[in-house]
Amino acid sequence: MNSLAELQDRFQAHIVHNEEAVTGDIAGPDDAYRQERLHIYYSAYRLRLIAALAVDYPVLKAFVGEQRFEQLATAYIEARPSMVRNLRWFGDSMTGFLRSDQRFSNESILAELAEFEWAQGLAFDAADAAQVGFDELASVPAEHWPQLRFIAHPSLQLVASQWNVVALWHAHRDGENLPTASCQDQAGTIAVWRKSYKTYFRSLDGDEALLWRTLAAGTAFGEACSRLATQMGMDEASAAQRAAQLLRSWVEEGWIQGFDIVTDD
Amino acid sequence: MRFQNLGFGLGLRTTHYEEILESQPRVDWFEALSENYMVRGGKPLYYLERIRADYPVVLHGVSLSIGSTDPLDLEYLRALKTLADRIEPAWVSDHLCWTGMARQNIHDLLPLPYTPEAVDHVASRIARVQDFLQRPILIENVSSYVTFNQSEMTEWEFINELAERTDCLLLLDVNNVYVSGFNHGFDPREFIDALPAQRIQQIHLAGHSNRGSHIIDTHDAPIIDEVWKLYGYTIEALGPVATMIERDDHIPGLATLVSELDQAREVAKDATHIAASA
Repeated sequence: MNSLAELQDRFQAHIVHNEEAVTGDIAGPDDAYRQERLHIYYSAYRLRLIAALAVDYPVLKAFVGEQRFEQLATAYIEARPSMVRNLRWFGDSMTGFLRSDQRFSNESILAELAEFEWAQGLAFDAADAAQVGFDELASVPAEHWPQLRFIAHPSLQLVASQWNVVALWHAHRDGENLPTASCQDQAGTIAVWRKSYKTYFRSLDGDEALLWRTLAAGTAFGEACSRLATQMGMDEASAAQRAAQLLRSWVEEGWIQGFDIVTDD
Repeated sequence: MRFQNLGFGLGLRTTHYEEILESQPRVDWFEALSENYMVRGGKPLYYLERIRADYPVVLHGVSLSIGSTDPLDLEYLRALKTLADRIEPAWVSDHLCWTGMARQNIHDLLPLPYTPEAVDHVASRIARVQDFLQRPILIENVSSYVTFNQSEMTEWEFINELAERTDCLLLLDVNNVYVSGFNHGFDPREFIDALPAQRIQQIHLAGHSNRGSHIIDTHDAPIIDEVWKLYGYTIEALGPVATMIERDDHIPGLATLVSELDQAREVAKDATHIAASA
């Protein structure tokens, strides 16, 4: 390592690990002065990253409170130091961190809140893409409908949630006291997406989540309807009717970027 | 070779998007933070393109890390070039600093030692970035809180050497000169007098936070009188230079910043008259 690299190494080791070696590189009348000046960088590092996480996870912050959020964010900064150029992506592994770190993993609501908030960020600046209109879809001849295959809009995210994260989010937005955390027996599914530069979300019924996942994986519409019928214990006609109704709402909501018709060859 | 003088600008901030489009404020241009628009799509790029249709825009980055001893991040440079091709900014700038090493990012503008080794290192990187982007870049002086024992020259000698070697342009942050002058005990006017005037393409103004024993560059408050005076001094020496106000925290309504920008116009006008009559 050349001397510039060695100096940067010592400086960074001070900021990240509070190592003292760099003190000798700093000009100043005494060690107290040098340490005070170095501390500006040490503390700015944490404050800036905690502030960035607070922007990404405002409901999580409100839920755990200012002080615990600072502890949580500091633990995250230590466990997952930033390897990204753009601060936008620093909070990317918060959900995984909260699921795996023993200080937080026994409160599964924390990871769920993080996943829900991160999904909104992803929807916010996901790639732009067309959103198919109903007229376009209606122009497909009826005999081709079983072969229709849909492409999800890039902003569309699905998150699983057992806790009342939506209620918490609404209360936070409206400046109300957050409701008590409550948990359902089974995890539900929340869809998050963007339409006309605005981010939306809503909870999905079980059959809706099933059909959407099947279609989003590239299964043709006819086959997806059959699976819906089998898995939900419906007859084929009811399943097709329900699927058509769901498809209509998805098109209106802008979940579908495009479609093609699968051919046999 | 400088670009044209764009006049008086403001930092583009998300809270002002709608108001800018609706009210078309008397701001000559906007400075957009490059990283905020290095995203795949959505609102940020939508608004930037709409505002770009009405105003000149320049791109100002915080992640180039031109002084780091890590290899240049080509992925970052490609993303920056893609954004520049899309937005067609009047110019592109970043800071004379490093932001991390060993692939870690500290997300701060960290100071360099002013050594011949650092000049060689940074100059070769500025040259490569300019080649890659196919345009000269502007390099900005940062606020700093420490001086390295290794330094063998002043900050302004360091900047002069880099500009001379790479033919880059300069973004002179007058507030940073004031802050660093206070923190390191130099006369900010000596710094400004020593810079190569013909290379100064843009000026930054901002507020800061005085902690008694030192000043921190916080961009969260109005510009103080001493910095206005130093700005006047700078314009007297340089003549008109594109000037903008940065505000990154406690961001007030657009009207407040437009009126602070009017103050910059007044100070610059007075300084230009003084220079003309001298």
